[in-house]
Amino acid sequence: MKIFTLLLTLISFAFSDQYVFLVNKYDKEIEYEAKIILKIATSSLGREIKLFIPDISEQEKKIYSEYFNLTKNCETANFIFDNKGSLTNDCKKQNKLFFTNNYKKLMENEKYYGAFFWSKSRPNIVFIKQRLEANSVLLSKEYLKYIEDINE
Amino acid sequence: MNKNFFKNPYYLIGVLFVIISFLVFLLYIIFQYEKNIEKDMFTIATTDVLHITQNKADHITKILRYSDDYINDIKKDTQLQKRLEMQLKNLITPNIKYAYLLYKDRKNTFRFLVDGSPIDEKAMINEKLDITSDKWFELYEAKLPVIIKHTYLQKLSLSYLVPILYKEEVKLVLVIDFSVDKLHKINQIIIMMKSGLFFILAIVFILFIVFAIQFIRYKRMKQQSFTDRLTNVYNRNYLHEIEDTVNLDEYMIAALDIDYFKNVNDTYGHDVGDIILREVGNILLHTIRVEEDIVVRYGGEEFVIFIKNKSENSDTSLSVIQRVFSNIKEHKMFINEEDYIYITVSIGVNKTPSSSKNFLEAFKLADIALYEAKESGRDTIKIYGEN
Repeated sequence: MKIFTLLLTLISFAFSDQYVFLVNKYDKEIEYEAKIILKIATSSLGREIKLFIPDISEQEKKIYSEYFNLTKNCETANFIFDNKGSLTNDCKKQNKLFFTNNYKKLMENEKYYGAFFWSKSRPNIVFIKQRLEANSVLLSKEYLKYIEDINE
Repeated sequence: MNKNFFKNPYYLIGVLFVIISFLVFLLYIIFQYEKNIEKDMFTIATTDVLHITQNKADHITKILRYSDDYINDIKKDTQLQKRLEMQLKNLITPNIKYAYLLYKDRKNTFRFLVDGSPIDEKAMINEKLDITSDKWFELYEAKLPVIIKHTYLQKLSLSYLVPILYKEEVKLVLVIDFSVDKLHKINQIIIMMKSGLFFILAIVFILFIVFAIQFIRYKRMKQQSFTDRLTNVYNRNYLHEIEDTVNLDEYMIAALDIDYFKNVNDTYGHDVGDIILREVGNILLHTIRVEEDIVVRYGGEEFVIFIKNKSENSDTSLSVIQRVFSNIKEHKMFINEEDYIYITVSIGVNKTPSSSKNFLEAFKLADIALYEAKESGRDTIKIYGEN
């Protein structure tokens, strides 16, 4: 019986990686995204960031709150990251910095001055030159390679 | 094969030890060369795909054979885009996550031209792709396919880049991205191999431990079964065990019998008889050379002594017998706390047991000498063949 218990324990340990589903999944992608947005927002604003994410999920709230002062509405924020395309018209009228996670939306809606998105499972950053100028955003050197001129 | 191989537990422990060593070595090899094994397995699994991709790049070149400006012609011609898109779609499998065609603009930014991905993941024409390695630019110099392994992208294991040339100049790049699934499967196989080996190793190791414990217990039990509990010398079981294997060339055999032992039993009772036997056993064990000589209680009050011949001269061995004889004779045998008796023994010696066919015959000669000793009035040593 002792040998049987020992064998059972050994087998359980050997296949322990099969039970990871029992542990809450921590999304590394969201953490990575939060860090990138923090760097971009800091470089764009140059002052304390009050971030608003429309329709923020609990998981995002948990991770983003480690890096940002999150606001509950658009009015009190100075940086809006629209990662679900759920920005209200009232919010769009505000004079804030709008950032998206969708290249197509960036091209279609001139409210957004830049985007951080995953293309072919790779992180991509784009800033639109004309919109940076319109929002008087001066980015640090490391971001210059990401600036696109849509008139070219 | 000798039947003793299976009888002797030392050999089995040795075999188990060799198996454990081999399994540990195998595990070491797997751990040491895990990356190489992974790489080789991945190469085997992807070689065909890489060939197919190369063929696809050749086919795309054929489709574009009437064009002298690949990039602009594709951008302008939606029919051509659709045709190329179909070609790329054919490459996508559960293991190939993406297949797309890129070009490099004058600012060295890579941009999409055609994407074989489903609509929700499809990149727009001219959409830029931030690259993660300088190897992308090597392709433009070497004009040969490049493999890029991703170390920090979560969903991709590697990318395969094939250049599409126009007049010996790289104009387009066909890219396929492998998902991590295949690599995960390969890693799972390696993990399974390791787990399996660990499991077998654990079982063999447990067997080894169980066997070693059983072996110790067996040795202890065997020791007990070979020892006479009253006198602490070997018993007849032991004699049976060694009689076929003992080298008679090395020993002199003596048969020892306690004189008038029946009278002792009749006069003082069996408890005193047992005390006498215990004392004789004790004297024998203290007088013989423990590592060399063997004492066996043959039965009742009779003992067999194997005295090792240390040299050609038999005097040394005989002196051991003489010491046994004297020590017993001079020893006070206490029958209670105050009273004691002296006892004597008769000893028959076979000085050359190797002349006999086997132990039984050799012992018979010692027994004949013992008989002679008894016949001549007891309390004496007789050597077979000597008057």
